[in-house]
Amino acid sequence: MTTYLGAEDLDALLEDAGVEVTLGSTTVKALRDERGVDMLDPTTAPIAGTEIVFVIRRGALAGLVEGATLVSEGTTYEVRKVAPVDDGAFVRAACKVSP
Amino acid sequence: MTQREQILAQVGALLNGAGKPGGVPVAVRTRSTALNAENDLPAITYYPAVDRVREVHGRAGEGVPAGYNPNLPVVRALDVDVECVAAGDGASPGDKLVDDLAAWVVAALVPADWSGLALGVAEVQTEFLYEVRERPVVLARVTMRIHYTTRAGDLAART
Repeated sequence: MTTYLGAEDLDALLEDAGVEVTLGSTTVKALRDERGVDMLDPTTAPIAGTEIVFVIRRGALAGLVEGATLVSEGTTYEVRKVAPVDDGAFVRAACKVSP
Repeated sequence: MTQREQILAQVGALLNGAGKPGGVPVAVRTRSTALNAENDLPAITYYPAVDRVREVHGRAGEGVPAGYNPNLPVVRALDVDVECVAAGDGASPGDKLVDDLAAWVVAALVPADWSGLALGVAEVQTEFLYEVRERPVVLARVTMRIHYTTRAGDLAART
């Protein structure tokens, strides 16, 4: 089994500050990150959007791929992109709100 | 006031005038504040993009560019960009949503009575831009070309 430097600290952080994220029948803790982004670069004024990312332990959610459906705090999301964070102990799942 | 300013005022009047379909937002000129993707869409913004001198009537002295004679009439082509922005519903990227807005821009400006302010108005192109974050947002940039006349040295004179 692969071990990651400092993974225990991140597990503790997830436990303390994480939110519950469910994919199918599996629920885990994840860090929810939300930041403002300028979208589409219009000529006169920016469009202020929001990027929502869940940081999840790698392998914790089977089926966490682009197009998967996540539920967290009553909101349903569709995963847009999954990418490893730093050494790969965790992944970032960028999401859009599902209709 | 320049002919260009009068044309831009007319663009705003036509985009927000009679016949505007329900659901089409008020068109705003040259925004200086951000649009919030969550709360402010759909939106329409128009602004002058490029104004080209297309033609100079008459002849200037040999070796002197015609435009240096301030009294010669010139035909100009003003490109006005109209940006229509909408948020998709999650299932759709939103291009169908902005299509109605872009169609209104063309319908409002091309067949309109410009009362001599413009020689003619035509759509040059419509460019679609996409981005997905928390929700999909699409922008349709409609470029409208408006031909009009001024004097070479007096943008307020219609000739």
